[in-house]
Parts: sequence; structure tokens; C-alpha cells
Amino acid sequence: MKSSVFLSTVVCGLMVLPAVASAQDQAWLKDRRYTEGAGYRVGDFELHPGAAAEFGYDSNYLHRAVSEGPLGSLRLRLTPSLSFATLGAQRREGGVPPTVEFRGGLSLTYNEFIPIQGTGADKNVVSSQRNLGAALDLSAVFFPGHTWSGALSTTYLRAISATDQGVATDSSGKTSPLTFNRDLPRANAELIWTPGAGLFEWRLGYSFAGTIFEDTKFSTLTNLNNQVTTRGRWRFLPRTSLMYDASFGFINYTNPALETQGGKTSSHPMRARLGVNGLITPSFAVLALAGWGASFYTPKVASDGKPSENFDSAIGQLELKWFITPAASVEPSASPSTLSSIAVGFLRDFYDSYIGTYYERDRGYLSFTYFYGGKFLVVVDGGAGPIVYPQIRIASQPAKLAAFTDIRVDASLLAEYRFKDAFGVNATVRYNENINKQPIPVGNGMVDDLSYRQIEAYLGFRWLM
Amino acid sequence: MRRQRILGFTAVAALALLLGNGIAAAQAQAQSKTPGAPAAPDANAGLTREVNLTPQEELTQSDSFLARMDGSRNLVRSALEKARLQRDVVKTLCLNDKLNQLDVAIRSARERHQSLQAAVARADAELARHEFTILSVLRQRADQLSAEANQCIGQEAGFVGDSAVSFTVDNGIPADPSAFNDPNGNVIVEPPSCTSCVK
Repeated sequence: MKSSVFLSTVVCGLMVLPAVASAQDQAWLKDRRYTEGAGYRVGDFELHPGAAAEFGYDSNYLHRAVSEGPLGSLRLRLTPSLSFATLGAQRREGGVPPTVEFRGGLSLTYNEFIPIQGTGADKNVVSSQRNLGAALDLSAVFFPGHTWSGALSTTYLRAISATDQGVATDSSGKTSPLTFNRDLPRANAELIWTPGAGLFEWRLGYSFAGTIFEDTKFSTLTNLNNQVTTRGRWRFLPRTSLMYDASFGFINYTNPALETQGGKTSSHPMRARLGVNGLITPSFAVLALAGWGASFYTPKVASDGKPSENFDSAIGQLELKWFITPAASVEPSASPSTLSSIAVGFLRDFYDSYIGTYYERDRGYLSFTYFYGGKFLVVVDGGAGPIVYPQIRIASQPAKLAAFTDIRVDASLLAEYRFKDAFGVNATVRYNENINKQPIPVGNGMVDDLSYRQIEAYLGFRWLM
Repeated sequence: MRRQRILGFTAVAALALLLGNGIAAAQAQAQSKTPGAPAAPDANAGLTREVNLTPQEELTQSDSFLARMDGSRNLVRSALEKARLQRDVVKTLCLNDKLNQLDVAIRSARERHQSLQAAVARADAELARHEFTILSVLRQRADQLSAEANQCIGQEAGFVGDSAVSFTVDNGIPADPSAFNDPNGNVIVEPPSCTSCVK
């Protein structure tokens, strides 16, 4: 039974970076199972270096609406990566786990754009988008397998996002890149209590998330999010749990604009969910979580007497997953999860928005992962659903903009053939579209269209150890 | 006159005795036929029963008795060898005793079988039935010994020592999908695709 506790703790420790991962463009960077190869053993550590080069086409890196003139370009991505960890269960061969399990990773992504559309000025806009993204993560699990344990993790991500304008022109007529690039420092700490040899697990945690916009023009959007979290599960079957999670956050904008001018204000998002997660049959799993969420924006009533828009509704997630092939090893702690699976689900939640107060997202999704014979990997992920905005306060408008709904569609496909254990060639196709029927007034009779359509396609090769 | 009186009295007494005995016998038959009355217990305890087998059929049946007894002995012998390998003294002694008794029963059954064969050859139906009845009893004894051998317990059940738990994991079952695999919260919100609306 102790192995089960250990497994749970290890899994939590090994896959502790979804925040970083979710911001990565490359599908294989999002998940360590695809990023890492056999690795090198160095003392009590294992190292997993890797490098990738991709070249392809990006139809609309700037996320421009059709009316704004999308600019297609060729795109080169170079991605070196390194991850390291204390010896995994495979190399430890079932020995006693160490007092502290440690894991870390670093990746850089250089993007070069070769414009092929538009005027000379347009091409300058596109070529000026070259950038360097970065992701660093460190995590540790203390006393894994014990009744009381703890987990610490810290991450840093330089998230690269373009603006639709691409460049800004100062008073002297000089242009400079205008981006939504952000520095995202994150930290998490959790106290873990697992009595009953892991049958019950309860966690109390704290998380910090900073979002620091690099361009001073967007400094009013820089915010800090401190969050208290708790979650737990009762494993009424070996791989099926009754689980809950709850959180209460403190989102503060460090340099807020006036709320009457459409500036962001503080909020205290609260979420609580309860449900079931786990295997129903040996190859079929279900995740069903339902709860309530509320945003609690402050002040409740702005200085002009208009109330803040708040989310106060049900949230939840339902996912059905079928594991196509079994785990790679009979050892309970050898393989953190099964590679080949297909899942369909629905997620409803709310998020702090940079326009207005919040937005609600209802996303139906389908994901398919297939890893055949250790040689051929296919990862398909796609989803669609509405993004619901409440009434939005616009600086140039005396009245709030009426509530509106966008439709977001996203899909991605990664296919990789590993002709050697450490070398693979891959192809990636991504599709993103935002369908908007409510342009945002920006003053002087002008509007900003939120709709865009982006198609990316790349061919590349990868070395992974 | 006196002589006649004695003869008459004797005749009446004999008649009365005869009638009384008849009435008593009739009462006994009536009592045994009373509906709902409990049946008399079988003094043979099921060991004997009326069968209408021919001597040749009895011989065939006795062959199956011997085969069955041999099978029981083989099972007990196998269990005994296993107990010896496990150095389980308690179980070994128990099984050894049962096996010895089985051997005795089988040896006796073989002798009776030979006698049965001889009786059948001589067409002596009475003797054949006698031998077959004894063979039936021996077969039941062997069954009983086999059942007792199955109930022989070993040291592990008689002595509670240190316990150890072992487990196996089915390769076909995926890892626990309910394990927490990410920190709570920390969702990255993408800026909207408009610059003017957030500046």
C-alpha cells in the first residue's frame, strides 16, 4: 500500500507544471511524457536533454481580423530543453524513495519570422516579432510516501503573445515591437496528509501567480494572484476517488486604471467542486466534477454608481476517457500514466479577463493520444465553445457595452515518428479561431474586432534523451 | 367332574391367550401404519440397502469402487508430499495417518474384490452379495478418510506469526487517473486580440 502512496506523490511531483506547459505552443513540450527520452544517469540524478527545430507557415501570428489584414509568414522555431530529476522508480528498481524528490526543467524557444505577405512595412512588422520564450521549473516533494509530506514548486515562464498591431510608433515616428509578452513567475506550496496508507489524501496549499506585462503600455494589466487552495480525495477503489477542490484567490492589479475608465479592479475568485475521478473499468475512466464559482469583484459598486459584473454560477467538468493500451510496465510506480487514450469532455469555468471583469468559458473538447510501439506518436487535441463576456465598461463610452459571446475553436495535431530511440521527425498542424460578432468600440467611431483565424503547419525533427 | 372342570378352564385360558396375542399383534400393526407417526430409525445407518444387482453388475460396480479409492489415495499422497516439502510437521502427521488408514481399506477392498470375482465365477449369488456389501462399506470408509484428510490443518493455521502482504499489479490497468497532477489554479489567461481595448 505504501507504494500506492508513493506513486500518488511522485505523480504529483513529476507533473507539476501545467501552468508552464499550457502556454507552450509545441504539443510535445506540454507533457513530460513526450518531452523526455531515456535520459542519462548522473549519480542520483537523471538528465534529459533535448533539442528541436521546426520550420513552417503561420497564417496569422498577429491574430488579426480579416478586416485588419492578416499577415502570413514562414516561421522557424528552435527549442533546446533540459530536464533533470532524482532517480525515477525505474532506475531505483523499487528501492526506498529518497527523503526529497526533486525535478526541474528548462526550455527556450527562439522564433524567427520570414514575412511573405503585405507591404514592406507589413513585412517589417512581422519580422520584428522575433522573440525568445523561456520556461523554467523546479519542484520538490518532501517525505514522499509518508503520512505527512509536502510539495514545493516554482516556475518562471516568459510567455510570448503578439498584439494585433504588432508595432507601436512613438512621437518621433520610430517604431518598436508592441507585444503582450509577459513574465509569469509562479510558486506553489502544499501540505499533504495521507492517512490510511493513501486511501485518503488531503492537501492545503498556497499559490502565487504573477503576470507582469513587459511593455509599459500594458502595465495597468500587471497583476498578482495569491490563492489559498485545498483539495482532497478518498480512494474508495484503488484507482477511483471521490474528490473535491476549493480555492479562494486574491487578484490585485498593481497599477490599476480607474474602473470607470474600463480599468481592472481586484477580485476574490472562489471555486468549490466535488465529484468523482477514476477508473470505472480497467480501461475506461470518468472525471465528473461539479460545483460553484463566484468572482467577487471589488468594489461592488463603482464610483459612478454602476455595479461590477460578477460571475456567480455553476462550474464543473465532465470527461470520459478510454485507455487504448495498457501501461508500459507492471510495476505500480514505473509508469506515471498510460500513453494511448482518447477522451471527450466538457469544461465550464470563469477567468479574470483583461477586458471587462471576467469571461465564462464553456468548452467541449476531444483529445486523442496514441503511442505505437515506442516509434509513432500521435497527439490530437481540439475543442470548441462559447466565451461569454458580461457587460463591459469602455473608457470612451458612457454606457456599458452589452454582454456578448464569442465562439472559440481550437485544434492541434502532432505526429512524430521516432526512427531511433532518441531521434524523431514530426509534423504539427494547429488551428485557432475566434468568432466575434461584437466589435469593441475604441473611440473616435473606431472599433476593434476580436475575431481572427490562425493556421499553423510545421515540419521538424527532434533529439530527445 | 373335577377333571372336566380343569380341562375346561385350561381350554378357556388357552383361547383367551390366543385371542389376546392376536389383538396385541393387530395393535402393533395398526400403530406402525398410523399416518404422521415418526418412522423408526434405520439401525443400519445407511450402510446397507436393498439393491437388485446381478452378480456381474456387482463386479462391475466394485471395479469403480476400487478406482475411486485409488484416486482418493493419490490425492492424499500428493498432499502429503507437499506438506513434507513445506516441512509442515502437523499436517504431515495428519495426512500420513489418513493415508495409512486408506491403504488398509484399499488392501481389504482388493481382497474382497477377489472373493467377489470368485463368487461370480461360481455363480454364488449369496456370497457375491455379501462381498459386495462389504466392498460398499469399505468404499464409504475411504470417502470418509479422504474428507478427513482434506481437513488436515498445518502449522500456519495453528500458529499466528509475522504476517506479510504481497500484491500484484495488473499490467492492463492504467495508472491512477485520480492522482493530483497539477497545482490548483494558476491558469494563464491570454490577452484579447485587440490592443486598443486594453491600453
